[in-house]
Amino acid sequence: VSDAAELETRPVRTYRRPLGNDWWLRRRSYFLYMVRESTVIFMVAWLVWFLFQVAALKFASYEPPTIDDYAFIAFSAVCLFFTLWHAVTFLNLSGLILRVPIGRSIPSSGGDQGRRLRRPPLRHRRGGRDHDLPRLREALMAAHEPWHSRADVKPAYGHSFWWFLFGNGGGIAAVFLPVVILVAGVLGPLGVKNWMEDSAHFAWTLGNPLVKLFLLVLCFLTFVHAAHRIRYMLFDLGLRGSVVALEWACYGAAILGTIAAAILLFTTP
Amino acid sequence: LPEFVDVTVQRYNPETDDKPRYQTYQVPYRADWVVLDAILYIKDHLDATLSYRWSCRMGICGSCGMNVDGYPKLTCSTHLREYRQGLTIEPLANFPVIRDLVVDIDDFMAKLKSVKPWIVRELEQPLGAGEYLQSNNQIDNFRQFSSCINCMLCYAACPVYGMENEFLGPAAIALARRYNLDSRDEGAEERVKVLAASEGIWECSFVGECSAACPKGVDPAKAIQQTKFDTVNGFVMGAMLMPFGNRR
Repeated sequence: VSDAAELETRPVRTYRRPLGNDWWLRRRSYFLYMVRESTVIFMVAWLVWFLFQVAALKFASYEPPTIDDYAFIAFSAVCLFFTLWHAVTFLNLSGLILRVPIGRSIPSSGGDQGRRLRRPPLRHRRGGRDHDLPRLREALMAAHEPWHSRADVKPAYGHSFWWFLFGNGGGIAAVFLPVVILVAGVLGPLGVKNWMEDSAHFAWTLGNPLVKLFLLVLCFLTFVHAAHRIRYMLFDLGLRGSVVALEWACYGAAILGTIAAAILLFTTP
Repeated sequence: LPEFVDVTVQRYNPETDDKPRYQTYQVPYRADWVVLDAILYIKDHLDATLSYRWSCRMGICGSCGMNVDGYPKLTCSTHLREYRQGLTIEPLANFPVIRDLVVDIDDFMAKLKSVKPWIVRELEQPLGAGEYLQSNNQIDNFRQFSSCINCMLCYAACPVYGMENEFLGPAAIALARRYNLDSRDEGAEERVKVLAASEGIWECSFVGECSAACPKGVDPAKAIQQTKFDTVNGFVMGAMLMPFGNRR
């Protein structure tokens, strides 16, 4: 065996520097990403406070926040600030990525969609010369087969389902939640008349099934949106043992929260 | 009067070292030098044992990507004068280091190939039928994604790839998007299997640093989110319009 052949077969000892769980503190852009993601905590916190008020109304113990509730006004103001932060960042990024595909799921052209250029008749199939390649590749990959070369690799429908709700939730929350928090959380206690100013107004407003539906959809989509972001944040912070368990915990909590909100909203007069 | 700049380089010899060490060289300072010139100077005049990759010196081959002061850069396109106080050069982050500044790129190459970054046709049209025509608008659709030079700076900037190496990664998805958006291409359905797998687009949490790091103005973060949107849209539209349709 020659030296060259021995060198060829000797395994290479590589070194890989671990990333560490504090990576998001190392760059300003990483940190701002983390802030962007954690805005959901404040959005959920305010909605949970709101659901507690609905519960108070249900059990006839509702007391509207007043101008003396400094702590509550500060809490609402902080929530409003981060909800607006969410609104600006989310809508900015959505505007960057959103395309409106018509007709095809993955558009092959944008500007000229519908206008077809000359495409002559097609005559023959692609050549069959490479028929032995799959078998060769299979043999080569036998030792360690990466996920992307497995024969059964397929789209993750579960991920796309949650991402669909996440995207819609982000948009709905960005548009509606700041208004709700501003009116009921900040302006209300400061003395501006609103739908939560006393239990009579609150009950009258909630008496409309469309209002109930709106609030339920707002809670549902915001909770799922938050669950999705928290799932990724916890992963970022080092919870990488079981992504499946992490997803069950986060999305499960969002669904349980939505069920609780539905029961509260629809059993309150 | 010669001026000098301290260049600290990460060294790693797989045969003797358990982990990398740092070595500092005094390199003459020239205002018109790029970082790669400093590395070439070290190799030629100070230490011939230093290993690194480079080729074109004009920002198009994508070989000389390294972490300069902790951030992925093409060393041939980064001026030494930006680091007058000294600099630290490390191999691209998130990749296994083979030796000194050389990283193992096999993982990226396999992932790149898995998304078929070439034009896929169900039926190839015969040569006699002429070229496939494209309008300027159709080219503008994918032009920026086609500027990718496979330098892997985006992988070094991506914390998700750093945490989870199975992630398909920014450049591979951007190039898949480039061909999905090409009016001549018909391979979207083949690519979506890999693109939309759990380890594909869904791993991305949109930190967006890949787009900031790209030296060629490609926006991989945008490509990934657009692919998510189109994939979801395809599933939703498919489920609503053709609930019992043939799911190929």
